[in-house]
Amino acid sequence: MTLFDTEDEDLADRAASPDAGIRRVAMLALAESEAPDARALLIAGLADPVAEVRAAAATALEEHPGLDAARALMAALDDPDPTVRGAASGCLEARREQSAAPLLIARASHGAAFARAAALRALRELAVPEAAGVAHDALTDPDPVVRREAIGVLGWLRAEAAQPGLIRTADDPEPEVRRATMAALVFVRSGGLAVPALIAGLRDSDWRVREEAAATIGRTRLAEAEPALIEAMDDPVWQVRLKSAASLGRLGARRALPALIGALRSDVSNLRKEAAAALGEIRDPAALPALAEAAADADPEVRKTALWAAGRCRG
Amino acid sequence: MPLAAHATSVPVIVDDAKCIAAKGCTVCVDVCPLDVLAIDLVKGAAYMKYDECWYCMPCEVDCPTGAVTVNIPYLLR
Amino acid sequence: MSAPKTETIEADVLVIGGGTGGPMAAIRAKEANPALRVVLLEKANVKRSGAISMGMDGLNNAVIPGYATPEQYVKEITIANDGIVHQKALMAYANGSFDMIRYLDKLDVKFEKDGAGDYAVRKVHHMGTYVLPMPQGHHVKKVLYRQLRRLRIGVINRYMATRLLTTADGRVGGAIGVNTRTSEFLVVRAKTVILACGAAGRLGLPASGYLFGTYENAANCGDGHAMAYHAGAELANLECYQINPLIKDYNGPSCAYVTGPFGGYTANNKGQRFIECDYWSGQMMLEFWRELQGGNGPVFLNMTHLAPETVGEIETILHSNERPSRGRFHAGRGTDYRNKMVEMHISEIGFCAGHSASGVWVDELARTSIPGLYAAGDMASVPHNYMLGAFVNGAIAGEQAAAFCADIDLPDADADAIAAEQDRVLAPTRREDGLSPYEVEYKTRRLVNDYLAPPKITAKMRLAQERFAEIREDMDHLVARDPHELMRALEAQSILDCADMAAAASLFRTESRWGFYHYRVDHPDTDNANWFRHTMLYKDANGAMAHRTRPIDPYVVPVDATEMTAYQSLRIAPIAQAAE
Repeated sequence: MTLFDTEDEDLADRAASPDAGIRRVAMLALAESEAPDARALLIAGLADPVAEVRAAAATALEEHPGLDAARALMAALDDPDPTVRGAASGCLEARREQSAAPLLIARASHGAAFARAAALRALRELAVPEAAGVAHDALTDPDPVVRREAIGVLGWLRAEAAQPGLIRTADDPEPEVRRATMAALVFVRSGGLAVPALIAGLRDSDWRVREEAAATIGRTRLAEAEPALIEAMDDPVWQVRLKSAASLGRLGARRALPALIGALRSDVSNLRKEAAAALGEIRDPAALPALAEAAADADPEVRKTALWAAGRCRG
Repeated sequence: MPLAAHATSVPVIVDDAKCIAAKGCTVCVDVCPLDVLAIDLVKGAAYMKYDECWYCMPCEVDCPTGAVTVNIPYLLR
Repeated sequence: MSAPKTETIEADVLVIGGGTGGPMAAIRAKEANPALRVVLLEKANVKRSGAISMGMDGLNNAVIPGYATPEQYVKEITIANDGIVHQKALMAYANGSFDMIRYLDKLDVKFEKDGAGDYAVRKVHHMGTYVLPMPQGHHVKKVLYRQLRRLRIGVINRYMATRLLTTADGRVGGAIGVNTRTSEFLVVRAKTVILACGAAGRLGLPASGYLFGTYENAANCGDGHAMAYHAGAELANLECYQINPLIKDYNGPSCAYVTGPFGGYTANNKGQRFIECDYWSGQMMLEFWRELQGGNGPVFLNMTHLAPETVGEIETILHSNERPSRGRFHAGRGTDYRNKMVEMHISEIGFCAGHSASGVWVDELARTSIPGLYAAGDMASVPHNYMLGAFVNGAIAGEQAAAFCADIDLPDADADAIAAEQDRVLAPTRREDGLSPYEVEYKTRRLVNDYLAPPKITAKMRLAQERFAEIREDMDHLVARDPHELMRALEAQSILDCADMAAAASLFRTESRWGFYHYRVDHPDTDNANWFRHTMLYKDANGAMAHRTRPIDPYVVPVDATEMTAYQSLRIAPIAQAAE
């Protein structure tokens, strides 16, 4: 009985075939090969004259850890063919190879924007503190994709020293960079340098930035952002109001009671439920009449949350 | 009770020009959970042998050359 | 007649089914004791088999500290199942949930993370927050397969297990399988067996009439349920069917768990909500059915009010994971979520613990009623366990089997039983003409729709049993012209077994429970005095289908009476009534 249908015997021959189609199929098969030379054959495949073979080799290398392979994949980020570059980038991210961090750090500041962004994305997954420097430098990269990936690295590292740089990207012309900044600032503490940038994010022109800022403020429990969050309960976009309501609950914001009670009468049931839950977190008996009303809500989710919240306000 | 030959349109289409089954590739045949694809040894290309498709798409997604297209079976379309 | 080509191998742990729970069971058994011979038998190919063939868009029931507690989860699922649960098994799942997420993360399954690399959990249930999206969930199978290879677990693809081997003293002793491409036999003598064959998803006939247009992966047709039954294992609460709200004709999920947190909702033909909790439950399906009956159908999933960015995000998730052909289906009909609601429908019936509660009985250690036999995933009786439950319970099964086999010898194989099974399997290949597997399967499943789908009516279910008995006689005329057709012929027999079990189980429980799943017109009320119990179906000493009940074990998480009714009032009340 053969376990794992491996046909390793002739893979080296097939990888050297004059027929590019056979080489390509051989590269794919090498992904699962346990032959000692499998990785070397795939690294050689990254230099094949035919792009399809190179792309297959890059994909297959996901199954073969090793620094020599990581190095070859990083070189393939400059491949003239976009499919090969994409495969190499995806592979580097998926490998999550700690030992490759120094190589990736070097790669993150060199070459085309695509390669820099790919190296940063792979570094984010590794979360190595040594990557903070190169990521901080990349915050001023001319390419917005690179800037966004750099922010991702710093967020995962909770890099407090990067706050000045992140304050700048909070004003980035690209909404996605600003949104990523709001998401990354989740490590900021009360009184921190970047707090005003987060509060300003609640008034951003793009609702996704506002939503992200509201969520981050709740997770970091920034009491000084409370007035701005209460204002955000009037945001035209309900998703922003929903995140603001949840965050006000986390802050235990008694001053938000009128705004949250108002939200109990929203048309959006998700928001009504979130407002009820927030009132349950704040635990102010003043919310009891409104919660009693919400306990007869048409939505069972709202009813149940309101009952739970009322119990907490009483207790 | 002789058995009838029953014609149906097959949902999975293989582009013979792109298919590299002749080079040794069997990816689509390998991944099909219902085992409905086969290699036509004469043409050197894969084809749908049994009309028993769950339109789940590994054959299309995993095909290295983009030769496979999964259409929604006509009865559902 | 020459003896069929047969190979015999030995294993400490045999796992049948390489979808979700099966690979995890094999992995954990091997990790528990690397010296064990662990064999994974799969009808298709482990690379892309099972319910998550194309991955999954998220974890529906993640119990993550800071968001939900195991106690909240156990309570929630108890309520959603009208109290008929083995809470210890739910608790075992809930306690293992977060460790499994971290284990999968370590294996490189990608979960959605926030800006600081923490899990980005979303809300669906009301007592906790349990949805953890997996934007790149299509890689799940690749990750599992890689780990199987690293651990050098024996994977045997394209063998369909047909019967379990049992010993004279009632233990499990392995299984017989047949190759789906050559019809050669494989006998695996094993100290322990873990069944992970998925749902019985080819039970009812989809409204389209296309046999393979099922909600479940159509390869999951109840082989495991049938094998467990014939080996003498007990199956629990089979009358609690799986019935899902699905995209009409496409017959896949829309999916409310993905769209709900973004603001999507279920609406009637006036675009109005009639139900506000989209969590799949029998009560939700009952309201869905009533809306269709009441002339307010069709029922739709509405996303037309969402921001374009939100719809784009939803499309990315729905069209690249789990059932990616959804996008192609919608395109074919000109349905754009931005301006057109998606027509929904009620699916055909099936058995699937992943979404409902029925299956081969297992306790909190994944043990069935047969020593040495374990079950996990959609075919085992742990309710609402979804993909993560298959992983957690598969892991439990693997670890338990690894421990159990340490102290026992390999059972002897019963040559007579093997020969008899080979005769049964090969019978359709020995006929020149007769009935094709497709027409027998079609007829069985069409009758399932006609007579077994709810609302359940006693007289109709009795008729179903008569028709099924006739089809059972027809099985002696099945013809298979090649190994592939033989696989379909064997599946048709599993499907008939499941149809018989569905009828018998539904007739046994003389009350209504679980909303639409077990809505018996002749017994419309829930009768807690007599039926607050599990029903257990098994094959008795005479080979007949038999039943007993099993008391509900004392709860480990108490649920008070007011909470138990949470799912009973899902319909949106008119304003005047709501104010009462």
